[in-house]
Amino acid sequence: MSCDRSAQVEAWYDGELPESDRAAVEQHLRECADCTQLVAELRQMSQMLVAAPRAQMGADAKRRLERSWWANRDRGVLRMAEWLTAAAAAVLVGALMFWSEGERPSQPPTQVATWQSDAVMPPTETRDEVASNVVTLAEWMANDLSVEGSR
Amino acid sequence: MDDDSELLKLGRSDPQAFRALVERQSQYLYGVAHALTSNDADAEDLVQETFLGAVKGTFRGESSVRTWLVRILVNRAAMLRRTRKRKPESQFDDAKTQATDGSASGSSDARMDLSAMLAHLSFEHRQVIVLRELEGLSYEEMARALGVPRGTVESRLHRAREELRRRFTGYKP
Repeated sequence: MSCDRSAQVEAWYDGELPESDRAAVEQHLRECADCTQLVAELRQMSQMLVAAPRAQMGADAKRRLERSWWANRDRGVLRMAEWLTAAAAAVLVGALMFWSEGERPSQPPTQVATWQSDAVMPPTETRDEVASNVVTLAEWMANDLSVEGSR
Repeated sequence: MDDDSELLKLGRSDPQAFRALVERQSQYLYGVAHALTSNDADAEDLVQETFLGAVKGTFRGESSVRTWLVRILVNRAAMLRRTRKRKPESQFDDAKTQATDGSASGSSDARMDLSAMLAHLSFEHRQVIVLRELEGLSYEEMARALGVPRGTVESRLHRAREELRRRFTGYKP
């Protein structure tokens, strides 16, 4: 095959040539014996390939194919079951946690022992005494300041 | 929606539909798989993977179901070949001699069978011959199916045909 338009001719044979180029190639085919021969050979090859007997799949192979479908389906069902089990377990755990939070009784205020409060605060009567002393001190300071001011 | 696409949809969960789909398409697919691999066991594995993958997948109706299945098969074959990349290329071609004598897989026809015709091509050349000559895919469709540029498809197809013409021009069954 010596013609340099063979690639174009092959594209034409495959129906892949743009419409604008087709007429020129068809004209070339009328003039070029090599390309005419090429098309004839391509046509013969295509016919041979399509008509060639094919290897046959035996009945055993078909049975194996069917068994693989069942095995595949079983694996799918198992995967689904595993997923559903995991999802159910997660929901159950979540529900249990939620329920236990809701049912927990509210804590009563802790009773503080008398000795503890006494340890940090003086007894009530002592507190009253301290308060009256503070008032006395404040009155004394006020009087003192007013005397200072009148001087 | 034609029968095959319906069977494909149902075949995921319905064994009868799957069986019917296998009955309709398995011979054709096996022939293509054998032509790609030249090997009974690989062809069977490929057909199996193709059917199981197809019933799980989504057929969008952009081609016939058969062409869609062949595309899946061709891609699976490429994956299988990649996983064996460390071994010599002849791994896929161990059955070349078996195929070349035209007697592959119990084909009793006196004509040379498809596997034998393609046995001397590289895997990439077999792919394009199957997709173009048997399935009639356009260059663009082949490029998409194989994940290669259109120019690569064209040059592979040209070389594959050249090799076939060199071997078989004038061949009379």
